[in-house]
Amino acid sequence: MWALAASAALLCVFVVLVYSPLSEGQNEADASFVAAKYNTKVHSYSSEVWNFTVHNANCFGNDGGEAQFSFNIYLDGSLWFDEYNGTVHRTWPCGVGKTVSHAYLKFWPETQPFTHDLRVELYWFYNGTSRLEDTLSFRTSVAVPVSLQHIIPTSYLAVYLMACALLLTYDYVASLAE
Amino acid sequence: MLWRHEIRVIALFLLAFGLHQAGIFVLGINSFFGWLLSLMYVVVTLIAILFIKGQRSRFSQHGFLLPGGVGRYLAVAVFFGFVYVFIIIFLPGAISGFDALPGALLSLDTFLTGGSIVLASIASETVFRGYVQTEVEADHGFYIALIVVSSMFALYMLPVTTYFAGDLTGILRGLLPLLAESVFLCAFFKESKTLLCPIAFTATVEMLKVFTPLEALTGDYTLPFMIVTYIVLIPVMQSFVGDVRQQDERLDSTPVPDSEEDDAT
Repeated sequence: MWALAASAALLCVFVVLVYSPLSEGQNEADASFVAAKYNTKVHSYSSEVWNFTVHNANCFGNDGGEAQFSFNIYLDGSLWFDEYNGTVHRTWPCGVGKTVSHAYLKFWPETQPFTHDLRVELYWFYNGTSRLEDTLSFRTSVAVPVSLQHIIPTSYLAVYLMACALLLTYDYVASLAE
Repeated sequence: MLWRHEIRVIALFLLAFGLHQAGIFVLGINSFFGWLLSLMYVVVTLIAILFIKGQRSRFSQHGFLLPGGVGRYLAVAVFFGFVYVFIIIFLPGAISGFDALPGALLSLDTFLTGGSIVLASIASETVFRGYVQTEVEADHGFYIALIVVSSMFALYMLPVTTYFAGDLTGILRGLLPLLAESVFLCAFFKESKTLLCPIAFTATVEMLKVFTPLEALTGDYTLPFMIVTYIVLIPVMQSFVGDVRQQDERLDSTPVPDSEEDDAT
């Protein structure tokens, strides 16, 4: 009985927290991300295509037609891609009730393993002002292909072998002591 | 009552499965809820303990015991954790190379991850080895228990998003190594009679996987490699643990000299 009560209580807490204003992506935006394709692990000196899908629920253009949107992409907290100021097309259209997808190419030039925090912001341009509609955050790790002779695998290999040797020694010494 | 034990086993499995999958699902939405997953593991452990208490059986029968020579049991469990991760990372990696990933930093997040891994190991082992394996083995024998526990454990561990993806190959690829892991853990528990060993083993393996920033470039043969590794490790583990247990039992059966008995009284 107690077990059932505890489980029910915990499930209620989950539901309340998931739908609380604290949780990301549950806002009442007029336009929002509905899907995103990205890799959580990429290789150094490789390119990756991000694909973001946006749904326009209730955003209009200045003339009542299609609304204009753009993305800002932040890499580790710094603005890396400003679509409005950094591209020729500046914005892209999406009508009310429509869903559009846009793909962006990213090259990873790192020579060391690194974890990047990314944040994509969706802006709606209306009457000369930009309004933040939704944000999307994700993390990508850049992996570097290495062989066994490289310092990273060699050092971890040494640690593993030492740990195994120490544990076996402890087991042997403990068996003698008993 | 007929089927009373089976109903309890299924009820505990459904509770643990529901809570675990809800925790993973919520964490997938927002990593802010990492602490909630740890809390959920504590609740799952407490629920399993309540089920054991409800059985009116002794906790030691369910693996809650500290055997003599506890250090050796722990050393063997941690050793096999190292051996397993060593085999699945370094052996294939030596042939086909590695992916070096960013290492874990010394931060609060790192400690919370470590704590969460330990709590997850305690929760899953208390439920599946401590309760389900003990109960099913008592009624139906070890091999039936092995099949039941391994199936339940694999279903519990595989994230619910994999089921929803609807890709049967993906589901099987996820379930098979978990089945092999569960078979190893059941054999470990049966051999050692204490939950300490499977808990220490799983916690060591998960921590090493998280905190070793290397992945072997194994490709398609990763899955059979993991399964074969677990199967090969079972007799080796039985030999190690059997040795520790035999010495433990020898010490227990050694008659106490009269003078010591007098001192004790």
